[in-house]
Amino acid sequence: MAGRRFHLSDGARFGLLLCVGVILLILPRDRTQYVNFAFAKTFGPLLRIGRSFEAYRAAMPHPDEQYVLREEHNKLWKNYNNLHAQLLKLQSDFEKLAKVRSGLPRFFGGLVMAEVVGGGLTQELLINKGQTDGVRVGYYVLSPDQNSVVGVVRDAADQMARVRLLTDANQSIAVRIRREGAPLDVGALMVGNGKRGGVIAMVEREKDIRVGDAVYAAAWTGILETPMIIGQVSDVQPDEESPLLWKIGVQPAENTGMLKTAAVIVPQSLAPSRQ
Amino acid sequence: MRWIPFLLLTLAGALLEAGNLLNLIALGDWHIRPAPLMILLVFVAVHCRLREAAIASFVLGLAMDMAGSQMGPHTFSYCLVGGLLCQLTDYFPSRRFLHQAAMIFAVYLIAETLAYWLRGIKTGDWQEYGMRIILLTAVYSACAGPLVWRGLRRIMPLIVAAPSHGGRGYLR
Repeated sequence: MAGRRFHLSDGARFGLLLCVGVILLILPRDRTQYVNFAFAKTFGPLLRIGRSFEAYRAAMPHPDEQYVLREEHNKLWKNYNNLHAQLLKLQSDFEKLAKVRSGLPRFFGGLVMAEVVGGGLTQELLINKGQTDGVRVGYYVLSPDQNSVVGVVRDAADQMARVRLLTDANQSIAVRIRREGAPLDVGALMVGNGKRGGVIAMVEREKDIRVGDAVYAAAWTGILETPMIIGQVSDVQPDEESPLLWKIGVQPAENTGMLKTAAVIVPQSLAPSRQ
Repeated sequence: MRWIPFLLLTLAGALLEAGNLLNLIALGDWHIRPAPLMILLVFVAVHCRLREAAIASFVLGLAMDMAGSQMGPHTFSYCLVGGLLCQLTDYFPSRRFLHQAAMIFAVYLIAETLAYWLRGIKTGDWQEYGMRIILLTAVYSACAGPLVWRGLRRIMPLIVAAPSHGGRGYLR
């Protein structure tokens, strides 16, 4: 009897399902994101299958491969540039404060090490640390060596977080372009190109930007005390729409397709004690 | 419709969509991959009655949303497109590979474009190359679809209890 009373025609059932879809669509993302995280958490091991086959993704090129291993070179190159950034910061502090700080500047408040549990087609990573570990939206995410910025936290649940890579076309980040041995220090905004790199626009052509210049994530008070390397300039061309500006291509320093772990920078006050 | 095998198949499709396994056959810089859930949607819409096709499309859209990062866009678009396709399927032949490929291409393009716009309206995120990726994925899915279709035909008795032949919906 109850079945007859609530019997729906095919059209009504179809309309009802569409209405449910609309309701899901209207619901705020904060309310529904737990479903996505729960799915990723439940099937994490299955989703990871095949991840090691992504070795063909972007890697930092270098012509002198016959002299040193690329992996070793990339690691040294990033460490060197980070040290160089620290040096510049120290010099700046010295000039401003007229004294040398007793120790090296802090890179960041605290670190939360996380395991990459998913990613796939999109320019995003899923990590197994979330709000309970102090991870919040907008925090920077570093490579496993903790020597280059690879992304920014986009969503954070209790136990998981979604990281948007710097190469995502929707991701922008404040950067500094610098060159070794030159006073070049240009501030700009980098946007991912949706593929393997990023694009920096709105830089005046008076600026002497060259291929090979280092690109750093700009310092962020409380999170990133000194700039940290992102990659290097791979292409410099006049902007077709605004010929007075450069359109600069950026090659990331880190092969994000191979990431199995990542480190999230969190303020010291939010970092859990076990870190 | 036999719902438990169908749900297992949907789960497998969602895991393929969200996981890395399909990266093995991904193409190009954008890592274009076929869309298994869409192929399943077209197959079900062609072979089932409206009532079952509407529910199946809804479930497939829900699975697609769960595998992604937003709830709603695919649920709505897949349900709408699956239901309409089920009503119109008599007008489109689907026996030959070429016809199946064309159908998958068109349906994917329509459903994903709709989902893309809904997602953009909801979040404000407009991927710069979103439409190109959708187009290329539609082409890849259309190429791979007939092969998957052939496999689905073999296991069809496990999924579809009584294949429908005409007499469905309101548009015929």
